[in-house]
Amino acid sequence: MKALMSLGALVGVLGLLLLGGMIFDVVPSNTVRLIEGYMPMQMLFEVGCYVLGFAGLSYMLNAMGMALPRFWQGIGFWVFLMMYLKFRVYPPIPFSVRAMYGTVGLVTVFMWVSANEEDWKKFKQPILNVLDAQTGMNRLLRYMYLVLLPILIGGFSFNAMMPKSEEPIELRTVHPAPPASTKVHGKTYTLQTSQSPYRVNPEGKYDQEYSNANIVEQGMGRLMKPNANPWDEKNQGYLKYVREGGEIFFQNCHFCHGDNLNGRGLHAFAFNPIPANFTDPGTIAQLQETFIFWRVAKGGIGLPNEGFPWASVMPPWEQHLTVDEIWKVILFEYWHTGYYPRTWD
Amino acid sequence: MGRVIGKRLFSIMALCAMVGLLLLPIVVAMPSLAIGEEATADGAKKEGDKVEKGRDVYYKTEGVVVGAPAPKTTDGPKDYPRYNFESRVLLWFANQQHLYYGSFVLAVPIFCMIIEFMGVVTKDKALAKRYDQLAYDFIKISLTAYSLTAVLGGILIFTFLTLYPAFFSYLSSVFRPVMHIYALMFVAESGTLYIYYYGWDKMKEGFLKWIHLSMSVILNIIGTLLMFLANSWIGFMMSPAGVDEQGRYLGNIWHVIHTALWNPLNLHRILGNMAFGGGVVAAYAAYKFLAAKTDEDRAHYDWMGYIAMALGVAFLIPLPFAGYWLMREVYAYRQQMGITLMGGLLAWLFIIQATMIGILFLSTNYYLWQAMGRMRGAEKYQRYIKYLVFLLACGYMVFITPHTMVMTPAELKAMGGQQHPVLGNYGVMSAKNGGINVIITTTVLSFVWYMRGNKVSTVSWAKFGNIFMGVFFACAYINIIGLAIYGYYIPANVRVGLSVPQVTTTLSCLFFMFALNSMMMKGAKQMGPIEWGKISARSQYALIMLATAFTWMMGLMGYIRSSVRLFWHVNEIMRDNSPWAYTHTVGFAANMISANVLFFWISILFVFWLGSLTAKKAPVEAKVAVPGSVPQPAGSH
Amino acid sequence: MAVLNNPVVAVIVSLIISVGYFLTVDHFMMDMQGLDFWYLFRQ
Repeated sequence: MKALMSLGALVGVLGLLLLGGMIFDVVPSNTVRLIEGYMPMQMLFEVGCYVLGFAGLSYMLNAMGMALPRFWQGIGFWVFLMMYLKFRVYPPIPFSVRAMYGTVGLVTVFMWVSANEEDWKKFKQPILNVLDAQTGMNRLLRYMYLVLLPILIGGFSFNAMMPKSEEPIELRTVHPAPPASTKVHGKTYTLQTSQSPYRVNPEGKYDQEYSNANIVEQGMGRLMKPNANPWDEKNQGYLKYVREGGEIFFQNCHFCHGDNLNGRGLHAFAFNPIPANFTDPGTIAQLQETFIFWRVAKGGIGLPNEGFPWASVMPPWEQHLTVDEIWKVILFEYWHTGYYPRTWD
Repeated sequence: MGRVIGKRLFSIMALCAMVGLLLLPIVVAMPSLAIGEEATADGAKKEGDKVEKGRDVYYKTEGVVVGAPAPKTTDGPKDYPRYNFESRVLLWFANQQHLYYGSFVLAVPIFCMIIEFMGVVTKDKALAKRYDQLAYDFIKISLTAYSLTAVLGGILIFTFLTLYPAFFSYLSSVFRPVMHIYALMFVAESGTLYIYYYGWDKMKEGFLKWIHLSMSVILNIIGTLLMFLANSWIGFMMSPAGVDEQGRYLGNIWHVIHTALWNPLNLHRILGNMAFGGGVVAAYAAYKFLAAKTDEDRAHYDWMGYIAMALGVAFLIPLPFAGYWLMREVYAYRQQMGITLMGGLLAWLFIIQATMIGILFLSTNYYLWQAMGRMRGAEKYQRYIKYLVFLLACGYMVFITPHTMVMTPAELKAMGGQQHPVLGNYGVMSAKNGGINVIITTTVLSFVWYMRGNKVSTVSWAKFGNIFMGVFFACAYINIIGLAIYGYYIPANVRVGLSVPQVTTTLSCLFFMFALNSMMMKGAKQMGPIEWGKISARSQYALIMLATAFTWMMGLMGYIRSSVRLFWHVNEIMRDNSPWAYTHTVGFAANMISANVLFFWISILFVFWLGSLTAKKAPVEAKVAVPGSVPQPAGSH
Repeated sequence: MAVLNNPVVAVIVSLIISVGYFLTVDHFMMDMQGLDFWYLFRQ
């Protein structure tokens, strides 16, 4: 048990030092790299480590007779969490999300310190001490709060009401509901039932299983199968269509969507919002191919009412590409990112 | 002896006769259902030589056109008469209040049924008496609320008639027999309820007690059927069936009732009613606890709060999965509707919902930890509570992370894109299922600790049992989180199915660990009694928080359900041409919901106060006069 | 029976039962929906 506590304390001290360094810009945020492909679990793991570290530190201090009062433990932990979210996670998390996390953190810290009467009494004690103001120090603190609090609240209110020159926030509907059908080049496609004519197996039948088995490994960039190279001249059928789709992509799409299909093309940062990142699990990975077909064909101009505020510069590619070319480029996108298009069966 | 048996027989016969009379309207109404359509079909045949056929929009079967097409309304005083106020808001208000009260009066009899049954089977005589008295107290509260439900139902139906006449006449023409049965069943419901309540003391013992219990079952069956009928109206509005493309009724009443979303709504609402009802009763007990002057009162209300919370939360636990099933059915029915709900216009409401669900579970866990504080011997679990807090916090934070974040353009630039590379991963369903299941499993764990808080197991295999429990829970967590991670690497159509094993994992923890725990606690050594009444005030506020969160959630989900129809009264059949055929802003909707919640809670406090007025007297007097004491046929949807 | 109370034995037996149970549940719950739980491992 003691060994575990010491290990925890060590982890805790290291973590604190690292985080302190990141806050004061002594070490960059990516000193401990967030590993591509494992990031969400890594973040949870780090927070878990810090909790254990914190517990270990507290036990250690307790054992040494220098117990940290529950009050400071609670506040310290919450402050620490906020600092972690602000400085360690990169790229920076938007304020709205940090506010949500901070509120949850505050509630859960409260739940922890008030879980039983004894702890709750210990937590309240410093607050009551200041309010009761029996000692000189506490009296000073009480007067200080009396003066500081109105100033702080006034300052916050002023800041909130002051007109800012930044652009206002927009809540954009990223995935508007698709229409039941769409007409491209004179032909009507029912979105719920249409299928890509190029997602075929060697027999020429529509086959998702076959195409899923020949894509790139997700997030790793490796071919899943050694002979599934679209740029091999010998390969026909699905792989040939992927190659053709790739050619179309690099002639038309990569300028905005990037050569790694991650929305970091040459022109990407000239637009707001920037082009879609196909490697993100929230874009093409959770959409049907027909939805993408509709979006590519109709572009930003073709967004429905729900797509407010229509702030998309996606060109309506039906004006430049044939239907076959659009299907093939979509085929390529799925192949390259290693995602499966959504289906119902 | 002969006279007693004679009396008994007579009372049983009289009871059966009464119940039969009450159910007679339903039985009589059944054949008319079948005859009804043929009569009008015959009428149509007589008028024209050609019998027009239509194709059911959902079932795709052919049927003889019996009804008129859905009216094409126009904005004006004929189709949408109005006050100088948005009619939709008025209807929303009337509807929501009726739903709140209706939900409450459907939940309370289920409570009474369970608690009365516990009272009958408990071996401890004193405890049995307390259960019985508790069930009686619950049904007392329910009676006033029942009148109010009927009144609100009347208000709702008048609002429909006066503000949406075209729509309502169309809907009632399609659902004519259902509405009649609905009204008649209220006779049965009221009769059963009044006999159940007023006959409580007379049917206290022996065989009559079992009859009384059966009455509670009948009461619940009737109540549930009433709700199913009302659900059919909403189901029809969202996912119509039984009519052709123009909205003409095709003669098959079962098709009209059994729409695609009918059963998911039924299940979701049964569970939701129980959770909500439990919350309201728990809040009542919490308030009484905080206002109690004697230790005895505090002990009683602490106990009442615990039972109400336990029952409510027991039904809360499967609720997210019933909701998930409902969503799946919506997606399967109309992908557009599904996307509008969760990917498009209404997506932010679901983030708010996620926040509320987290509040529910966190409050429950907090209450349980406080409750452990009043048990001697539960101190051994206190030091592990911070790890439960950690699990809950992580699950909650993952659960509420939106995929598209609200950010300033400067933050967007710093982030390098619309999605955050780390947090964006929490914003998709795979992570969220994992998050909520972790939260629920932790709640189950808190519950198990509570159940064994003040006891030490004395069975021979105690050590193995404890280790097994710990390993089982650990493996459950690993399975849930593992499945969540797995979901990222497989196609969407397989990923969608992963929620079922996750649910089963959570429910396995619930059933097996509870069963194992009770096996281990047989003949256990009690470290100290449960000191009812010695719970902290914070716990009662947690109960009030629970009830308020339930109420707000119900309002929110009801709003979502209504909004998903967008500009349709009946999806794709009858268009909404009123001036209010738009979706409100999120802020407005939230304010409306809060106003509804506030009004409901103020009015239910009035109901509780009315209940307390009769507290001191014997239970056989007439209840306080409430306008419209004859239950009116209440229309609701 | 008493050997079960030995902590090490208890942990091992519990692990076997729990892991086996959850894998079975995963497989059959997916199978019930017509889906393949072992999808990724089939590649």
